[in-house]
Amino acid sequence: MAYVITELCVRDGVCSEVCPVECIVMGPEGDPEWGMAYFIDPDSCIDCGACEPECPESAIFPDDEVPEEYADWPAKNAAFFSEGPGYDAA
Amino acid sequence: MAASVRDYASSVKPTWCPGCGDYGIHAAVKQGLVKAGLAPHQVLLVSGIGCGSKLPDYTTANGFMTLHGRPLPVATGAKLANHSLKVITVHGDGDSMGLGMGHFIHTARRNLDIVDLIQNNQIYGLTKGQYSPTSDPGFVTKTSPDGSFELAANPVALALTAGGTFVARGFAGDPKGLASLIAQALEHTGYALVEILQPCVTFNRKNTYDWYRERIYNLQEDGHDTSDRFAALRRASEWGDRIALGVFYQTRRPSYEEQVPGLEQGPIATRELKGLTTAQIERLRAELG
Repeated sequence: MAYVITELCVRDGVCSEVCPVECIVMGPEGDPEWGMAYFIDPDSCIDCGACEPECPESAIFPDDEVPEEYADWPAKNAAFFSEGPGYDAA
Repeated sequence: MAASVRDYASSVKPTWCPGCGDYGIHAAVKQGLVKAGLAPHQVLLVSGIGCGSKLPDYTTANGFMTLHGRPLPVATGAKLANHSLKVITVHGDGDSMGLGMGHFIHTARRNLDIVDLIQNNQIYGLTKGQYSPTSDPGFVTKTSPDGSFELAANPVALALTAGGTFVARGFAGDPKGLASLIAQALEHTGYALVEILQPCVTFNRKNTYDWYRERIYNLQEDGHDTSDRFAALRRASEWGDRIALGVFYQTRRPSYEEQVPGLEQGPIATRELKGLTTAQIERLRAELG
């Protein structure tokens, strides 16, 4: 289980500030693949839900409630940490 | 086959406040159990009353929620009835250091083979914010409007002096580090305390994640000798600019159930029930008149 940031992200960043385990990282500015959003590390997320109500665009969902149109975003969040810049971007 | 974190995931969703330290503890307990190679049916989680004591309900391990302050006596009974079971108590600072203080000292002294997880958020959260036995002096709450004027109880220092054989402290904001401490505690034979520093995001606005992060350091990265009980006590007494995390002390002495003669033949729970022979009944009758 983990929370997932989706395409609705406007890079406000408050999610990252409230995360108690510091597992939300901003995609590098201007990066064509990762620059559009923040990402949640599913291996470190503790499911506390602190980020979800803070998001001004309601872009964050529990992974079992992600709307169908954003179905590829759980994998994208995970990929940011396994293949993308991950914590090095923090 | 080894258990995974998913095997411990219950379908019941936690009702803790968003951002609560209990989520980090919940994740760490599951990870620690997996690291220690334990499957849910081999584990009993005993809790009391408090926000954190809801944790057993959110796992698939066996659970027993008892009265406030009484998880340790229940755990003692469970361990003696079936010492093949991995028994873990999980309860808050109010439960363990308030009503349960006597049990805490005696369980450490007896060296019962259990893991005692104390979720210390320095406040009574479930009852909406009264100062607790571990609140810092001067802490302002609804029941201490002028600031608490009591000295805070120190679980680590108390366990060290009472005879605990594994004494550690973790942080709910570092679930991976905490999971490692819990796994080490599970692998230890004897009374193992893991005090967990835990923010209460709703009622304790002083001891926040940031407050802890500014102060915590790791004993294992600071050259601490875990065989030196007096060095451990000195580290345990630090509370202010520096707060130590990690293993304070570890030693080996026989656990309580290792010394109970009747348990040598194996756990009571798995023994065959046999009726008394006529001779045994007659002997009892004669003895009891």
